[in-house]
Amino acid sequence: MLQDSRETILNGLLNAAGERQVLLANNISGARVEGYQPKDIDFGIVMHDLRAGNTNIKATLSKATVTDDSPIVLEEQLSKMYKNHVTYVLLTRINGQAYKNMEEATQAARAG
Amino acid sequence: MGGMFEILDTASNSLKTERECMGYAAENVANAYTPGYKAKTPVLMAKGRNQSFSEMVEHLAEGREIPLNAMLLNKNPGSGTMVGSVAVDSSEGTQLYLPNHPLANAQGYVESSNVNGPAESIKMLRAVTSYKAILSMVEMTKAASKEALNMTKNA
Repeated sequence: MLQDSRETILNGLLNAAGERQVLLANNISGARVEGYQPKDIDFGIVMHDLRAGNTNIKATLSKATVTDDSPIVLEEQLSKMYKNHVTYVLLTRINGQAYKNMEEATQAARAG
Repeated sequence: MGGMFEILDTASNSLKTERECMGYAAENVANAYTPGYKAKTPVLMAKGRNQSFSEMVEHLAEGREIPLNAMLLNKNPGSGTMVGSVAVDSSEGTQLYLPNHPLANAQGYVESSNVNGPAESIKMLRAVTSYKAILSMVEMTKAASKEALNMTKNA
């Protein structure tokens, strides 16, 4: 059960980081469009929902998507995107480690 | 991973738009000495989001059918930007007294183009900055996709 909730949270966060990359990419693209409002994902809301056991990630992401009224600063969006990229890579590695552990446990059970 | 395709589609649309903007600025600069030429400025707008490749894969994974036509006709997926319209600056250019010019009017004046050289340079610089930002976005996406594909290998 503990493994399940950990996996759900990891997958949820990975989904959120991927979706955030899409939103930030749109912000960078729309930087020169008059009246374009940048969007972002509030990870606090995502984390709160995932901890509460909410498995509907699409609903969580739409709830956590926030629109900013301020004009787009290209450098700010790029730095946000880079930080999120690092988070994404870190999450894929943690997820990969979890799968590897699972694989090893299965093999050990078979051998035993 | 699906979202990564969308970023690449968005980037490709936006790169195309920025290239078009550079094209318009180059056209204006090239015609700076063409009598009567009016400067053109592209007006950018957010592109409507078509069904992306990743969404189609999701539909297939959920067992929903995708009409083959929709898949074949979906030539331009993803969001991003597009050139919505082209604004032509209607202001008059400077009147130059060139009585021997073939385009001179009865009084011997020729209307020069209304292209503002420094303004065009700034427009081009802005387009190049955006173009570079979008390219770095593509690089990040490439690295992230690679990481996702090698999830268990890199852990």
